[in-house]
Amino acid sequence: MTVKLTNRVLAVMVALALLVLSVLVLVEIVWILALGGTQPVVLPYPPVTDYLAELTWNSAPARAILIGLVIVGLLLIAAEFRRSKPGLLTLASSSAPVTAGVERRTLQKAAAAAATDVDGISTARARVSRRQVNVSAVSGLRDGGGLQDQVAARMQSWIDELNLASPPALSVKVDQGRSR
Amino acid sequence: MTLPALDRTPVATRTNRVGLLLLGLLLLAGGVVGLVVSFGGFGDGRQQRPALDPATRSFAAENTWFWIAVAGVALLVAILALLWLRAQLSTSRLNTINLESDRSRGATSLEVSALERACSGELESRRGIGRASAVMLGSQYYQRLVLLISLDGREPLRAVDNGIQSEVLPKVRQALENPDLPVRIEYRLATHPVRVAS
Repeated sequence: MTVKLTNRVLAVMVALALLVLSVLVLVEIVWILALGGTQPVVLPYPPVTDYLAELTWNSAPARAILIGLVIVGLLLIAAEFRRSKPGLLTLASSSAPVTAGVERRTLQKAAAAAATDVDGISTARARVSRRQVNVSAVSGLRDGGGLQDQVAARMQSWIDELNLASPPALSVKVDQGRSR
Repeated sequence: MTLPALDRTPVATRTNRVGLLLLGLLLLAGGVVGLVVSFGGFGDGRQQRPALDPATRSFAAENTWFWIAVAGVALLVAILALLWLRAQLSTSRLNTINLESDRSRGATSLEVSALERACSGELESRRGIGRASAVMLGSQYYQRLVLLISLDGREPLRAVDNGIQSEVLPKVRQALENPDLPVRIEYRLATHPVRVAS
């Protein structure tokens, strides 16, 4: 789940909770102040106020609740400041007012597919970040002399063909003598 | 150089970020102040008192204005929560574009969906492109075209990109009478490229 989607789900839940709670509080206040009610009408708050009236600040439950608040607060702040992975790697053809880029996720799959083009490579995986393309390939050959160099050469030419504005550095690892 | 993922709902994204950040700061501040009280930071007497002490309860019971103030705050929170929920429905996608800026000369508008369909049709007819879609974002005063293009692997990315930038974009700009229309092109590579015999 992306940060944006997580934020959206969380935001809807928080906004709905705030809306419902504040409307219930309003109803209770109007019920008691304007309509002369004596008992709660929709929000059963007396057990909560009774519990808080007995809960001392230095008690273990109070401290547990407060530590929980600090942890949730820190998690929310950290999540909002987290740097998300790049969606696209920019192409060299980008120049205002045109911005062109390749989606990072498909780049990873295509890079893995390109690595398997090399004879002797059975499977491959690739991870693409802002600055680096990491390719892990597996070969079933026991004696795959020079296979690492072949994969590196193939991947380097593949990256060059993409015409990226800042081509990431390449790192290739070939696991020989086994197949997945 | 990288680009963030396309955001078609920038208002909702910004609102959610600010709202959740504020909530996080509020919870953190409340938790820290409460822990300071709990560990005697405001005096030993305070830490042994209940969270809701009798003085506070009687103050609230005796002062009607206190509850009116609480109701005001609750109303404000409800309005803000409604606005927050409404922001989730916002989108920067355009429906129509006014092509005639001078009202005295009449009104000419372009239905954006027609342009988007024509644009994606033109793109999908090109060699090397499997699927394509076009979305016009922005406002009446500032438009931005976003092209989402899935390659089928029959043409290299560079060739497809050159073709789009030199042949497709000039046509779109001409149709919109906007030679400087900002365009964002997102390519999705073929994950199983088609091998073409040379």
